[in-house]
Amino acid sequence: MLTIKDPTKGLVAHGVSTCAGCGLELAIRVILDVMGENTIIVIPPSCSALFSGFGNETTLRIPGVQGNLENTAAIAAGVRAGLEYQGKGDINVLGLAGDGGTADIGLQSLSGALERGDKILYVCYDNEAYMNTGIQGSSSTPMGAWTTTTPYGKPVKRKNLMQIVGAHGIPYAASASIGYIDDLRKKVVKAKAAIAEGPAFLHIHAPCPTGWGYDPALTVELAKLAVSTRCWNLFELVDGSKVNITKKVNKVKPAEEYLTPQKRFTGIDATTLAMVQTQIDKDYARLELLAGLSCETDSAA
Amino acid sequence: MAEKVKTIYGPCALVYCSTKTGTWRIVRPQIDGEKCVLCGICEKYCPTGVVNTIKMKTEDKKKAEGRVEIDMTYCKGCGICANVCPHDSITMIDEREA
Amino acid sequence: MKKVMLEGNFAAAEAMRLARIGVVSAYPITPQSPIAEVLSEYTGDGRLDAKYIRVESEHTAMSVAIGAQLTGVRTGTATSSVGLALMFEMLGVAAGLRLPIVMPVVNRALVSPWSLWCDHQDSMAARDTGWMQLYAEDCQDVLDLCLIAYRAAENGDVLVPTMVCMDGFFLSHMSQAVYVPSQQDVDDFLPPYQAKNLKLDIADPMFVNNLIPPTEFMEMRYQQHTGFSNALPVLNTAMKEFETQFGRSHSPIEPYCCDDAEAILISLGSMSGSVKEMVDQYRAQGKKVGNLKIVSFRPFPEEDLVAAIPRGARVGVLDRSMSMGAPAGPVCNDVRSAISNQGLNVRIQGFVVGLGGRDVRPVAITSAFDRLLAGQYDKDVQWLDMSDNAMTLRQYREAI
Repeated sequence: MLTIKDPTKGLVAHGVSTCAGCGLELAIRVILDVMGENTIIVIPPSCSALFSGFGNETTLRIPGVQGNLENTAAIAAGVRAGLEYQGKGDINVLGLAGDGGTADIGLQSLSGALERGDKILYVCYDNEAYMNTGIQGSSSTPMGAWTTTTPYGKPVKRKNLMQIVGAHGIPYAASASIGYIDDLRKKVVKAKAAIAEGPAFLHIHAPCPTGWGYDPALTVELAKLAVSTRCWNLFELVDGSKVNITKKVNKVKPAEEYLTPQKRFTGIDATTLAMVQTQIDKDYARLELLAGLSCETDSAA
Repeated sequence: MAEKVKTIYGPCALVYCSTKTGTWRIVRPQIDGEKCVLCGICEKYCPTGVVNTIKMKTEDKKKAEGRVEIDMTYCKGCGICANVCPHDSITMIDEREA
Repeated sequence: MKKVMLEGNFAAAEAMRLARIGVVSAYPITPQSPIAEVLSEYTGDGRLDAKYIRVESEHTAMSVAIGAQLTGVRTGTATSSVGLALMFEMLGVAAGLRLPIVMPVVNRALVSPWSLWCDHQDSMAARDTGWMQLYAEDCQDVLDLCLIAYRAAENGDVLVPTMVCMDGFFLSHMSQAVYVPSQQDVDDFLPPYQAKNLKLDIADPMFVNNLIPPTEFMEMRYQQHTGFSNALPVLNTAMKEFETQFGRSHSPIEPYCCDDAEAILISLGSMSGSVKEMVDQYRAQGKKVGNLKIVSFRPFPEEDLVAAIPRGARVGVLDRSMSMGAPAGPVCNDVRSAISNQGLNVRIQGFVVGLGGRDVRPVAITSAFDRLLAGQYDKDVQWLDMSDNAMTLRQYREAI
């Protein structure tokens, strides 16, 4: 039996070795608060593995297993299958991986699980680089950002993970942000309900003071700025086709306002900045178009 | 309850506990009780989950009474609470002056 | 018990069905594909009550098996060659988490060069991942060894996953008469699976497989080593119990005409049948030769193996793979180490045979026996039944 040494108010210990101001730490508390103790968690080696614990100590009060970097979805699928076989399908299975473990090395096993319709909730907390190994660039690192493997700024744009996930037509997918906790909580509630039907996916923006180079106090402020500059858009994808923008940004701020406080964008030149802004505008226009299209489909139906 | 010792082979963690992350702190949050309206936003956004807003029941429903408690055993001093506070009621002060 | 014509792949699938695996995750690969196919058929038509997870890779196949087995279900997967190589990372996880998964491995060469055909390089490359390895000689062996493997691997003192290896095509696609036991008999032999160790259970939470500090890592590896130390006697017992239940005897090593032999060839898998055939022919000519078949390569039955070799006998090992840069193939290296560890001073001739689907023909076996009988010894490993032009297979004209 798990020995409870330090009681807590939720399912996550209060003292965890994540950095001060960690966006992921904020996210996992909300997620597990909604998912509850009838949940089994799968975590890859990553920043989230700090919650798995060290030696005989863990910071999670629910059963969990640490897999490998690329197979969070696969192990979760296995856990789910084992539970279903034993008639324990009411237990939630949750995978929690970073952008590297999801959009890069874990993309294949994620795609496999989504295509098969495995009834799991997969959460990708996106801190836009390989933070736990020391800030190396990932396919989710934004254009222009410094990382230890993009020392002169990332020359190409980021992968559109939500679009990839959406292509699988799963019951529920949503992007969220630790800057909008109430919105995040609502989406976890919806995702939890959706796994009765099939896979659910959450893509959570989780700023990282250590990797991005900013004062830890600004984690939430930056997460909000990412949304108000349309650098991170909040929306849902229902059944892979219906798009709901959950936070419409009417008075958009220039991307620069979000980028400037972060050291990782210090070296960005005017040309790259213009390209970043153009891409942001295109992405948002496309998102609005998709949201409009799905509204029409709705009214027609 | 009767118990017996069971041996488990291989890697696992059987103790749920917290690291005393409060020792990391170089600045700490100080709350101005006069400005604080007990809105709970700092509690909502604290990554370590150590802020507790305690509201007392009062006869005048518009006026909130109570206090905000922060568990300094674990507070890392990140300053998010001060940053998100809409009423500027939290100040981060140097640990050495605290 | 009924006797039916079964290819090796189907014998493996029958064993898995009879063992009542609850979750299946297999990715097709030549020559293992029929196992993945027939298990999906069994789960589809209800002959097997299991969840079939149609995985997108062998890596995921093993990951799913690990996740499912942690919840307390006997799982089933199978693979071959590069599939086993892709699984490699997860083989160590299954072993380290002490999950007694039983997996048929259909032996096929590793790339490069590309080959669809049999040798043992795939399973030999995985020999240090912490899995038991049993090698089948025929299709009956495949079925029997799988059932024995569940029984031994799941023993609480062992908890070591097990590969049951069969030679690709030579066994996987060879139809032989196989006794298939009744479900009742197998149920008596194999109790329902229980998670005895690490598990994912809402009622008893633990965090499995987190980071382990240097102060504990070696101890956990030692626990695995102890599991292997226990494995050999447990395997012996399981084989005896199997014989009581089903009437067929098996042993971690099987000597054939070794008692008075002057020359012995050690072998694994299907080629052992050919070696025994040649032993009979040599014996008919009055030449005292024998065959020593290793069934259990991991755990390595060192004492029994050395005891089976009479004093003064000359010994050679037929390896169906090569440990590049080492003195010989992996089986030969282990036999040499066993001989030395048992305090004997016997020189063991290394041979490499039958790579990439090449038959282990009589010519290879006779040349090995003849060398041993003539007292020839070469410290270099001998590659048998090879073309003379091995080093000039491809040539082209180039402008000077």
